[in-house]
Parts: sequence; C-alpha cells; structure tokens
Amino acid sequence: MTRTLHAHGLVLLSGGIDSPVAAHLVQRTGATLEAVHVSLEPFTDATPEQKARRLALAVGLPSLAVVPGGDANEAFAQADPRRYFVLSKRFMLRCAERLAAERGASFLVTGENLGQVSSQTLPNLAAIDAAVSLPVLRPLLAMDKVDIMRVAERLGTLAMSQGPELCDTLGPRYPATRATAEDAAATEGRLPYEALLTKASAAAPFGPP
Amino acid sequence: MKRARARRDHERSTDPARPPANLYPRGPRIGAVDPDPRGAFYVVRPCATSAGYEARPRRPLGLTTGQAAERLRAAGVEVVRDAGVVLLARAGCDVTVFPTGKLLLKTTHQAEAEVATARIAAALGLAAGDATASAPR
Repeated sequence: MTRTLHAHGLVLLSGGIDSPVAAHLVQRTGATLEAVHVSLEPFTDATPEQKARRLALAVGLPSLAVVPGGDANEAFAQADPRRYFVLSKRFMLRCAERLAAERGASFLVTGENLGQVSSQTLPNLAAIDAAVSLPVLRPLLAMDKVDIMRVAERLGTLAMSQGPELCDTLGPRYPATRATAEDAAATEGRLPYEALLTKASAAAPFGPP
Repeated sequence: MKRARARRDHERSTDPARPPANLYPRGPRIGAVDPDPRGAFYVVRPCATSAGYEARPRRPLGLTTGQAAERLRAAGVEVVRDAGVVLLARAGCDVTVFPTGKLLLKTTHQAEAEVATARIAAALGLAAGDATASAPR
C-alpha cells in the first residue's frame, strides 16, 4: 500500500525516545517535517537541546527551532503545579502553531503515547488538543513502548535518546490525570500568557540542526 | 482492630494524593552510592543515564525556597533564580534546590557534586561535614 501525505508539518522533538520515532513514521507517509524543541533551561541543562539536534539529524529533519520555554514553565509550576504538564504541553503546541504559520505547516506531530506517563491520559490529551486548531498527529498513541524502542533502535536513535539527561525539575510528584481544557484555560487566564507566548515564539528562529 | 489498621494502611498506600510514608528512608536506597549513615545528606546517581547527581537529605527540611535562598545568600552561595517550586543556585556547579532539601547537582563529576552538597548543606544550617558520598559501585 502506498501512503502519501503531501503536506508539511512541525514535530515537537524532545531529547527522548518517542518523538524521533513519531517523526520517522510521519515522514514515511511522504510528509515533510521540521522540528521544534522547547528548552526548559535553566531548569534543565543543555543536554536535551543537544540531543534534540543530534536526533533531528539522525531522522533527516532539515531544520529545527529551539523555543526558550523556561520562563513560561516556571510560571505554570507556580500557578497550578498539578496541571503543570498539561499547561506546559498546551504552551508547546501553541508555540509550534505560531511557528507553523510562518513555515506553511498544516499539522503538528508529537510522540505522546497513551498512558505511558501519568500525565498522558485521554482527558489530559483532550485538554492539550483544545489549545490549538491545527491537527495534532500522534502516531505512537497506542504503541507499546518496546515496539517504539525497537523502531528507535533500527533508526539508530535509541542510544542517542538514552544518553545522559537531566529531567524536568518543575513537574509535580502527582500530576493531574483528569485535567480539562476549561481548568487549564482558567489558569492561563491568570498569567501574562500572551506575553510569554510571544516572547518564546519570537526567540525561536529555524536553522539547521 | 488489626483489620481496621490493615485497611487504613492499604488505603494510605493506594491514595495517589498521599505521598508514601517512607519517602525519606533512613537506610540505603536502591541506587545509593555507599551512603554514610552519619550524614545529613547522601549523594546518589538517580539513574544510569542521568547527567547529574542527586543529594537527598535524610529528613525533609521543609524550607520554602525563599528561606533557602536567604540562607544560601547569607553564606555567599550565588542564587540564580527562585522559581517558587525550586531554587537555582551555583556552588561550583549548578544546583537545583527543592523545598524538601533535595539537591539536583548538574555535574557528572562525583567529587564536584560532593563539594557542592557540602557547601549547600552548610549554608542550610547542617554541618558541612555531614554531606557525604563515595565512589559509585
């Protein structure tokens, strides 16, 4: 079966195992992708960004934009710790949507996988999706982690993704698993959200990985 | 009586909103590197792929990041940012200080992690010599 998706999209690329695999699966359909990495410095170190650059090259992504997300994520952690991950993902998608408008991209791709971590539940994903109007493709949504790792190994990205990294320090021990878009929007309404979004997106030019 | 206690313990252990009672065990943890039972902190490598070290207090300190920042500044430790939920400081290497006293040390050199832990421990009001770690197994 030939699958052709003649479209251009942006993939949210972390330094982890899943997002490069998601990018690969979507590229296989014929779509073209560019990468967006949201950096949480200074709360992490520079390794996630360095890994994202290496991973982008490994899966053949021609360019990458690094969005400085530290300030926004700090604000989310203070304003609503339990919904931190949902607020953070909504912010990432919104940044990507802004960049998509500049790049002529018509969809977004993430490596989210249902139930893999406590923040990736169906209600949370619905609350995240509601933040943007572009379609969000999640090619790994129902895959087993071992299968994802097998693909990553075949791609040669597994070892890169498993390299040293400092995890997100702002996330709560017990994240909300049933967030709603309304609750998330209410928290966002209490923050200088537009300023955070504009500042982060404007500071993210695309360039070769 | 016994049954009621067992039920209560079970409910506590399965309540996701409740942190486990044994959050800060006195004994060595899995992954701990030769913890010194006399120390106020012990330094661990959180996982094989971690780019840093963690220092955990044997008992949670219960400080706000503001209080911790004050103590660190008074001791001459550079405070980079008080994010409310965590504090970023510089003590030889970059250190994230959590309100419980847990430290995340952004270095892959254990000796550097130990020195920074000792400095922060002293600044937070613990004996500098109490911060201990030794070579990974």
